[in-house]
Amino acid sequence: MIKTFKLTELDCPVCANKMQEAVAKIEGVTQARVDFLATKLTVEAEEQDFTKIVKQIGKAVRKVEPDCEVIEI
Amino acid sequence: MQFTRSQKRRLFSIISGTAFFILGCAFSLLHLEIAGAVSFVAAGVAAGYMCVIQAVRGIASKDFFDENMLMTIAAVGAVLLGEYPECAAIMVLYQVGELFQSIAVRKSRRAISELSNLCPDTAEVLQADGTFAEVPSAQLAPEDIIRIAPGGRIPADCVIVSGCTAIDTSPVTGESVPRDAAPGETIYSGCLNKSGVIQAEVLRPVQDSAAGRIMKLTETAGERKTRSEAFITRFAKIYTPAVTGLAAVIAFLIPLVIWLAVGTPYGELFPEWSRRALSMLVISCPCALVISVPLGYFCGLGNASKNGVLIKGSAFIDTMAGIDTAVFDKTGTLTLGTLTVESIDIQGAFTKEEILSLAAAAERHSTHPIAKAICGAAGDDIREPVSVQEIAGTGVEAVLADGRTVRVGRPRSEAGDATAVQVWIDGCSAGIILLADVINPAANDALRQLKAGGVAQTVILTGDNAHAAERVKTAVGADVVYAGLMPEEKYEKIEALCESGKKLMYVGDGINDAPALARADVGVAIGVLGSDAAVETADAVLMDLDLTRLAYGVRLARKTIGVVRGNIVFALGTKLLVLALAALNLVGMWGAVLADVGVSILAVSNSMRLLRYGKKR
Repeated sequence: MIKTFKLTELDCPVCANKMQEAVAKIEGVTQARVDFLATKLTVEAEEQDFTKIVKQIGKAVRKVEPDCEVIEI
Repeated sequence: MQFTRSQKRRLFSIISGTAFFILGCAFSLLHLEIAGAVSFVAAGVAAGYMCVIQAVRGIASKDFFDENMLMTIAAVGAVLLGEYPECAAIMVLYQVGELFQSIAVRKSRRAISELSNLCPDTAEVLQADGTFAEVPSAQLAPEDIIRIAPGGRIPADCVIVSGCTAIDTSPVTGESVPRDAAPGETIYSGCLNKSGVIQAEVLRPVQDSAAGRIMKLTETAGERKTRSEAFITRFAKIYTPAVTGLAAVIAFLIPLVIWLAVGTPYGELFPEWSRRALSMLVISCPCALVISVPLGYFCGLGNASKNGVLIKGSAFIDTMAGIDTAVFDKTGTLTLGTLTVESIDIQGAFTKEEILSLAAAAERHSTHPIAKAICGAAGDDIREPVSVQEIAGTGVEAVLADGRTVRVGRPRSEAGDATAVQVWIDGCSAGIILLADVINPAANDALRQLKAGGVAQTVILTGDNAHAAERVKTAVGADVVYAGLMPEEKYEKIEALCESGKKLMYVGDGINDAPALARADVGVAIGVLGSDAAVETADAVLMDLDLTRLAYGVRLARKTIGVVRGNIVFALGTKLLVLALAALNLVGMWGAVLADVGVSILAVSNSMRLLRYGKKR
């Protein structure tokens, strides 16, 4: 299952790459991609794990950019 | 100008840092050295605390070779060497550069989202109790009844059930004349309702509707990375550690070598060489490159979609810029795919008008394109035939009210190669009506512009006969034409051209030519509402049949590549130059930080120029 999130306060492309790497490392995530210019995060994971994963995504992203919020769309 | 949280914080850092810096300068002028030093360090902390926090966080996650780290080392090093003003300057100017970048990125994002925001966020949906409620557009389902007020955008493809209005379809089709719409008519999302309140039944959910398709096309554009982007990402990964290593060598090893060789005390050499090393760290910051390259492509893509060329990724900007051969499908691309009566050869005693009017009467109930063209040319006043009989494979025969029989059908002898029908009145041949496909009015101009823009050759592929193809070739000014091709032969032609080393752009309406679209270096489909297969396989989609958009797209692609390459050369060149000068102690920390911020600002501004490119057109 694929979900897309909006990332706020994403200002640097290097951070975007770091976020992508961090999210991809979360257990259960099979694929993660951050589109810096569209400020979008696309995550592919098993459906039953998603609620847990969403929380971890928030954590992983804020570790890179503390102001960044993850909004599901 | 609306600042975001992090931008506000950055602005505050810059202001407080600058204030402390001025204070420090004042103390220094008054020879209060200690107070001055404290103020300068305070300036550095005020401006750079975020940077330091990020650097520390980077160490924690074992990923610390980034610009925050570089700047932190440089600022702390400056303090340790007693260069207090430099510490403040590095941090304040670094923040200025970052703030500028962040504003630039946001500005271009906004400019682009404005034009891609074709779908309203909410829609008014009819509820079970007969009232209308505001519902997020994403929740619309087929068979929902929605209400659209004048001035509103249509959220999903739907069929009008009540109300009449004029629809501005330009966001979807590029057609600038509003279209009247009445109940029963299908209207597409993204279009604007101009005049009346209408109610309509939803046909498709938002994401499958016209606007959704357009947005999907442009949204995924960032997914395919260009060679330049990949180069920069890879480059930044090795470049920063490499420069840090080099700086360490210069700071620690070179004094050691000199000490061992010449005997100058290490303690005397170290501050001097480490100062050089710190300047190198400051200038080495790769942010200008890292941001300006993808930003350049992004602005190029945004500009293209604003001008009706939806390009599916920055990678295709690269290929589009390198095109030397443009291949066009004829029907539906260089021609409009609608027949018109071109001329009438008289063979009997009837005038052209009579032939046309009688033929139209016989053909008036047929839906064949030829019949439609004849009826269209005959005008509104077409007689009703008494009886019409289809003659299998050859045409129709009709008896009119005045007793005349009119037969319209394939000519006995091939009359040239144009599409032709022969008209017999009461058994005698009255004449031959010649029909031709209407040439796309933009084609000639577009081909000329492509040539002027550096496309060496223009080619037409068509399944039509040589005569019709020649006519189109002359009308649009193409170089080569291959006529009489079967769909698979079109593909083979494309393949052969690609293999001969040409950089090929193929433009087609997508009917029968999806394989050719896929095979060419750049496949361009026409019409967003065109066939699904074509829009999906193509690398770029033109909003409508205005082929000059294509020429614009190629020009823009070339411009984008120019800007991006210019940025890479300029930023890298300046950085390497200053790096060398810093190593030779010809540029100090001040020069290094100014050069770094200057390069960032210039490179980013240069990329953003692409948003405005072509405005004068």
